[in-house]
Amino acid sequence: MRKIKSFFAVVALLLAGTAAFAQNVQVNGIIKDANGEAVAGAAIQLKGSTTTYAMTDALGGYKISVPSNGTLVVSCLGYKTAEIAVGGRQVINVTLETDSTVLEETIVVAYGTVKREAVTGSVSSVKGETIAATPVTSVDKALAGKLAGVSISATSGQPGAITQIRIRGNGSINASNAPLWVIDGIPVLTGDVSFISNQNSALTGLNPNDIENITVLKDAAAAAAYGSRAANGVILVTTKSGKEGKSQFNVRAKFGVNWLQPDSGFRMMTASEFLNWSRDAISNAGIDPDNPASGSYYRPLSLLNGKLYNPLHEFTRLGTTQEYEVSANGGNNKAKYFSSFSYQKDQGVFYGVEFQKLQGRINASYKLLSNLETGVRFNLAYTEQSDVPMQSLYSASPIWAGQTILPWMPLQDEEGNYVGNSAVNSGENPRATAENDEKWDHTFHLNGTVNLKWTPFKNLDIETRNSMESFFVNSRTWYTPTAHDNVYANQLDTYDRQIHQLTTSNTITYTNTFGGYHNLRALVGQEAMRYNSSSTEAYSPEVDPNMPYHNTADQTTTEISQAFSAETMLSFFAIADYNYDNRYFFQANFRRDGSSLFGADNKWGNFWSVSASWNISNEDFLRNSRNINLLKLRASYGVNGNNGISPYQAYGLYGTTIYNGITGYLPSQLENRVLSWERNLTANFGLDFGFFNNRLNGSIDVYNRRTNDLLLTKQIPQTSGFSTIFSNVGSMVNGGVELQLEYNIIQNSNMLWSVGGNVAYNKTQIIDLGGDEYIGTDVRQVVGMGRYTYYLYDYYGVNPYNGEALWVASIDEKTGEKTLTNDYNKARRYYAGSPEPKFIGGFNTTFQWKGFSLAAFFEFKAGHQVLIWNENHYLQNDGQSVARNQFASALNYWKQPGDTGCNPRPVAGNTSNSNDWTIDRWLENASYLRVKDITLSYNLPQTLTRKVGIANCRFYVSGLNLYCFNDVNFWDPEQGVTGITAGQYPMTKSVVGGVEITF
Amino acid sequence: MKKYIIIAIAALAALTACDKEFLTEAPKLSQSDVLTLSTFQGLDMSTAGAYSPMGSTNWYGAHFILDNEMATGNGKRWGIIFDDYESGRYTDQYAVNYTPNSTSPLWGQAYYVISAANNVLNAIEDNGIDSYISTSVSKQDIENLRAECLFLRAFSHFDLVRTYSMPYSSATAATAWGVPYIKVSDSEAQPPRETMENTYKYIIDDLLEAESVIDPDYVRAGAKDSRSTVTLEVIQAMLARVYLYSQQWQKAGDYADKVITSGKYTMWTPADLKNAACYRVDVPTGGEVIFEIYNNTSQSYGTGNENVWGMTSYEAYGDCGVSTDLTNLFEENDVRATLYSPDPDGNALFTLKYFGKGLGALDANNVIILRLSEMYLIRAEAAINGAKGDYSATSDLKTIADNRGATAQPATQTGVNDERAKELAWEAHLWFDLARTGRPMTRTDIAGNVPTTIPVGDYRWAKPIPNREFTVNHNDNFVQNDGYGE
Repeated sequence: MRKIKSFFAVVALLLAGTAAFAQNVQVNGIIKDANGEAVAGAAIQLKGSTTTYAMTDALGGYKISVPSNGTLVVSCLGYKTAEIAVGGRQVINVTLETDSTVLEETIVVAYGTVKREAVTGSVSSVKGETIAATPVTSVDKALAGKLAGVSISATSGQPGAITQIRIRGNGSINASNAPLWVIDGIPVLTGDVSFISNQNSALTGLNPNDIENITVLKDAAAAAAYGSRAANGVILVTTKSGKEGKSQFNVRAKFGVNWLQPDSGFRMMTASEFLNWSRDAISNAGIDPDNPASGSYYRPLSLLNGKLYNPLHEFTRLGTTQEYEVSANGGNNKAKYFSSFSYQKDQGVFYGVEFQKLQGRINASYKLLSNLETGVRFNLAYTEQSDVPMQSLYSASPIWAGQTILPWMPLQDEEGNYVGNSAVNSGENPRATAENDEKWDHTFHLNGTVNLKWTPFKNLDIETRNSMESFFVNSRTWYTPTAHDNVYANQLDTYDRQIHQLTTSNTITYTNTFGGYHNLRALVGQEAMRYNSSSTEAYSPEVDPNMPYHNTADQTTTEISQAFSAETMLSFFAIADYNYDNRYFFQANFRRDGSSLFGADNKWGNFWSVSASWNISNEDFLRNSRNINLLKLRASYGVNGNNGISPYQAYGLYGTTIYNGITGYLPSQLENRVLSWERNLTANFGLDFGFFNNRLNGSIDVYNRRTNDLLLTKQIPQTSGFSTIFSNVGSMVNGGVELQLEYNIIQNSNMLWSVGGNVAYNKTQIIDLGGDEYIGTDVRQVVGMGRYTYYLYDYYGVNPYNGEALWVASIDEKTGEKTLTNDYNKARRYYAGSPEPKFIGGFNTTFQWKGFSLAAFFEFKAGHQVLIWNENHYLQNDGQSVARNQFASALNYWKQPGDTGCNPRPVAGNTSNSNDWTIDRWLENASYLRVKDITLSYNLPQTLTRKVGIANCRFYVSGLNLYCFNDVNFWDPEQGVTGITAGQYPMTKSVVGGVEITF
Repeated sequence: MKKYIIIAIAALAALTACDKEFLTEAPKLSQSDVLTLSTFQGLDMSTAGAYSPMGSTNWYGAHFILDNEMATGNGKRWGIIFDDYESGRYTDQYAVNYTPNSTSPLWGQAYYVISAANNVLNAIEDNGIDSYISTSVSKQDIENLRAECLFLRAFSHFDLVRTYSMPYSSATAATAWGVPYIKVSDSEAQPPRETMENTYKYIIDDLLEAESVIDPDYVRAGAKDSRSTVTLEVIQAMLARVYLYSQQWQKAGDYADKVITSGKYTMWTPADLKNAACYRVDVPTGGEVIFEIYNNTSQSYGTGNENVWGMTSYEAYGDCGVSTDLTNLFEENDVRATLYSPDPDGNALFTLKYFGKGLGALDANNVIILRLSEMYLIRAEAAINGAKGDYSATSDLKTIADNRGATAQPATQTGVNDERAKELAWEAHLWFDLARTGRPMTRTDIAGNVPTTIPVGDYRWAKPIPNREFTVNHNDNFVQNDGYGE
């Protein structure tokens, strides 16, 4: 950022300049900051001249020819300007003092940049360095816990997995709750683009190291410029640009390992524990486990004498990650470029999981004329993702099978090969699957933008940006007979998918200052977007294993299916910013969007916002205060939209139907000509502050976000032929408080110790569901409650007398007395919990001393539940089945009268339903505190590196997710936004080390 | 500056002008209704598809037959005695125990077919019949589609009014509740219940119009089973039945006569009927069938074990068995006795009318709706009640008996009633025949605690309208039937 500013400083000088004059001395030297670090891109100017200047290179060095009696003015944004008389010297080294007042950087906002003090809405931003400092492979993961009010939930620990991002809670039921991502001014595709693999995030193509900064627009005022898609917030990403000056290269390499390790004490039973448990369960059912006639209940102790396996151990390994990258940037006063190329290879902790990525970027700009500039930003990523079945309780899934297969079941044949065996695990062997099957996505992801900016006269910019984003995904699954001793053997499924999105964005911006005090920016613009996707699937239930391709000679068994979808959008918008003397700020936005997703009569929506702020610290009475450096009040209100629904829902549709030998048409969906946007009305009040020479910085925001016209399926009379129609009914509200703080405890030339953190409280409440009291069955949307509410049977515990499961049948309203029953069918059902955290946040501390830096980052969520009902139903089943290994926690069961606080007495084959899915027994408090990242790094002293021409050399080692404080009896407390998963790839822990060299 | 502003305004105007086209993205794999209904081919396919849901288990695929048979002396839940046939299904139907929250599923299904038919009829009306005429499409081609859709609309409303209204009586028809008669399917509408008189009037109007516009030789092209499509005789047979229900004897007799004298159908012989052979063919040729629901495992609707086949077979669920009240009606040599047979253990009785075509493991059976012997019986009943024509009740009843190995019934209302009970059992007639002729339902061979009689005038002769309708239809004239609470 700093370098960009100095670039602009130079441009300003250039514009003013004509020619240099002579009779000079040659002066050189190095410009450093208070920490002794080189200041690159500082401007050295002869005082009184607009033509004699130089810039420092990457090592802080400069050369300038000036009169020997002249004075040098050294300036760089972020530092106090220094003036030094030349005094005939030929070497002048300068140490610049940090200028905390101008450290207030500009930040990227919708369609432009503004000084941070001019922001009137609620925004949070992260610098590229912060993202790059976390050695994660995808940018969305790096944001976790860093921004107040931004919740990042992972559902999987797999390389390339998606994250679920929620800004200020869930605001919708049927439309999207995900924010809009805008990269370099163009909205991009996000979410899961996987076909065969379990998850493949569209964002993996973006290299975190290419990012200059990220701004999150949270309230209506900040996001309104993106109108129809801004209801869930906007994440603005700016990638790095080339810098004027000598070419600079950056080389990075990193290597890491990762492994599975739950922190709550969770584990599976050992072989002997499981055998004893199952023998107890069988005996409790009145069957003799030592009698060979007991069939599947024959469980002699001698089972422990044969070869025993630890299936999880067989299916997992130490995962590895490696990444290599080289980037370069440079330019002159006409052309600038930034380019990067990277290669990444991750091997997952499960055999068969691998992720490889090749990625390249070029960001270049060129000044065609003094008032005409063009640029291109192009990113290309190719990923190869190999996978194994996961995210379900399918027996070929290594995590599921690893938890369930009995330890005495053979996983290998006599030669020691892993093979499917019809007697074991339904014929599936995940290790054999990993070694033999194919299951992969190969994805090409192109994203390119070309822009042209014309400044026909001063203060007016006309800019056009035109972008194309494409995904080509080629996928294949092939189940080999080696891995599948069942009907799945020889199944072949292949897919081809294409996604294209074309965007054009055109703006005219006018900026001016009148009378020295009145600052104005006015912008009008237009955008258009076209999206389409198509896919073709070919499926053969049984192919020749020697030639595992679709049989082109005989196509009678090959099934082909296709899917298409398309969407368009057209938008017009205007923004006006005004401030008086940098004290009173006003902004207004208006945007009109048309979307193909909505009804013929209601495609267009109008969105707007107004906001204002008062920068109290710029008033005369505070302007010179030492202790109060920044004090700013903000208020905003506006309306944003949400069109995050699948296409064609407004159409009256016909589908096909087969009757009497004829394929006919039948109505399949009712037309809704007035289907339209969900509307988010957000009010925001905020306070930004900086105290004690800016050592304590922070902001507080309070908001209320109401969603009206919720897109819901509305009940209608069946006399219409249908019972529901998709329409805009209902409303919900999110309200909350966010706090962000940073404090520099120690700040001097050798040492910096800072702490920071953020915490956000949010509450979601459904106001109206179009007349219904609730929607859903087990996970419900209920009027007066949050977005997700678990509706569960009330499990009481174990009967201390006989070890039976007891249920609460009813609770007396007056006395609170519970009536208990041992009959599951008589248990009461109630609203038991919600997966929506009340509090989210993170905190960090950084300690720097000379070249060493130690940073630690913690993330937390609190006040919510998860429902581990899928695994518990089978793996803590109280004896219902003894065919699967069990959680070690199931060892704590009723053994004698008086035992309480334990599992019911296990009885083989019981039908008590004590392990049913929808019971509150599986509900757990999911609050956690995660040690997300601890990084120790060392920058070699530049005095040393300069000798070999290296500007900077950094070594680091990071521990990621080293420990998570939580009480959830499972792998990890993070279970996605619904709090329910099945067979997910658990979060892993990792240690990564690396080196970065700049020259 | 001026120049730029003009250019900008021109550009904006151009963009706004094309926005309507730009912002229209129609689906590819399913069709928008506007597009579907804009061509003759679309109309034709939509008409063909409109038959499809009639085969649903909610209608002729199971419930419409079984709900009504199990509520009479024809049905028996043997599962109460023999555990094998106890899946819990059709318990309330057997007990005639309906509530607004658990009632016949016909409501949504019939109005769905009505909406499919209305879409075609309304499109022809809105776009004009001429807009579909081309070198390869004649006006008559379009009229034939209209006839099919008018028939489907009338037919659906007829089953609705039989199910959800009290029996027709000419004395009260002007004030008794019929059902909403929907000619334009509209998601915003909250339609009232029509009077019984109007409901029958609209049904007859639609059928008469269908009769007047259809090509007398029209049979839907491409149909595997030509008896499962609307023809002139199907419309006329339906008119005979509707006139019978509304006690318009002369018209009932005349329309039944038209169908009989068309010569297109022949009476089944005892050889055809033995062990229900003629009921279990895939595609009938010759014989009595005028209109039936084609059923096979490859259809979009009506497949699965809850089909009428699965419910009445000892090889599947078998909840719906046959009572000896029915089998006791047959004389010794009456071939119709062979249509009912005990399971291999000799325990429970089942009907063979839906025993499957023997085409596959998960089998299906066509469901006959209109057939020739019903026409003879209608003509006979009409004649007994005063209809005049070139026919007589005695001779018609004899025609039936002669083809069944039975003694002819006397030419009285009771005689017709008795013959109908034997001839049309398990084809969804008895319950409605009792209702329209003002007789109580009585049964003696029952299993479990179920009513042995439903007296004349009892509220249970009309089933409740689904409760959910009242939460979304607030029309003052949309009311629940008496006896079912609010």
